[in-house]
Amino acid sequence: MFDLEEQIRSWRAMVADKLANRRQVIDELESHLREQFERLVHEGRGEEQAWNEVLQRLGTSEQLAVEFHKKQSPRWLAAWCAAAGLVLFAILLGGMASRLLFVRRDPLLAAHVFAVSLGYAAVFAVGFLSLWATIGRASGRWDASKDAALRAAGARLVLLAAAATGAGIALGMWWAHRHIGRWWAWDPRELGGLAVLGWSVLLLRSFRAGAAATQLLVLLGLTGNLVVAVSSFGPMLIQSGRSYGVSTIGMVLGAFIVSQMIAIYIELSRSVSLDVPVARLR
Amino acid sequence: MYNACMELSKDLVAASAGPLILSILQRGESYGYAIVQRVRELSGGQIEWTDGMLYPVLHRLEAQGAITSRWETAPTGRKRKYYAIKAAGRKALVKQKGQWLLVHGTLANLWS
Repeated sequence: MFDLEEQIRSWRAMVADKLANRRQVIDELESHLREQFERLVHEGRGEEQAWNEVLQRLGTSEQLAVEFHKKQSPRWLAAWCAAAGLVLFAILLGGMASRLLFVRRDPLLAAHVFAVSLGYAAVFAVGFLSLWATIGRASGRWDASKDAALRAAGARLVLLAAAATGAGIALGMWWAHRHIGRWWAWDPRELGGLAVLGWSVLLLRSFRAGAAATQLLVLLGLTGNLVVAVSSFGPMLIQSGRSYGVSTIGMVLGAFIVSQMIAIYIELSRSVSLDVPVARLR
Repeated sequence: MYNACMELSKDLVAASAGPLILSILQRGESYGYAIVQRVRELSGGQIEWTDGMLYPVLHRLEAQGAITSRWETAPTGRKRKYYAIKAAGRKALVKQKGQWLLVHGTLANLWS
């Protein structure tokens, strides 16, 4: 004698392990099974035949697990590396800021340095993900799950970048007002901060927009690397002036700029395909 | 994803699932089983999804912020998870529609 409830119980037990006991997902699939079963029985199938057909249409637990695994996607090594690097940097930065706080007794300056540096580092983290994506895409190791992971990690990082840089600039203005007697003077560091903030907002807009193409996101991320590098190290070069000696900072900055331009060139060389934004919605 | 009467390529299947779901949800909220039935009905039975494959796509769309969901108890007492399109989903669909119509129009011109 066919017992639907008994069949559902054994089906649940079978898929529970494969779907990592995600109860809501299993409940939803069960609801689907029941509706489909009722319909087939209503159409005249025998209960056992209907049940077998329903299971066949749903797919095996292995097939379901593969499809749901594609959906999970956040396990992208690059995203974990970027997050770990950012946390490590924040810890080091915290140490530096605490010296400003306790030795120089200047909490405003400490908070400004911490926030601005964290904001810049977050833009670099997005740039790092974009660089990883460029290499992955160029070597054919890119799929929808990595695409989703890039968007998810990028969206969080750009939010942090815009918020931290914006807060850092505001704190810096406040500090300048209290200690130098002016809010803003258009000096190279201030302009650099403004450029990074502006770029963070652009990144925020693009990463949070529903259907921006992957290529656009990657190119904006790579360009973000250039914006932050020039904004951070450019003022140092200007302040050091022309010494007729070899500038180590200049050399490193130059090499970094060239490397990012090569990455941008590689990404631009990809043919723009219509399936990119469509694939995003898979 | 399809037990297709007319064989569709894997890429086409994957690419069309999102726009199909969003287009159905644009006309009103719905749930998994009804979406599968609607696709079958609209395609005259030509497109038949493997039912279990629909849900990962729905969950992906939800994770991307294109749709939202809520559990509701039907008059029969059965719990169903209803999905509704969000503003980001509508926006994405407009773009998708433009792309699909562009491809369709180009191919139609070539084949006419």
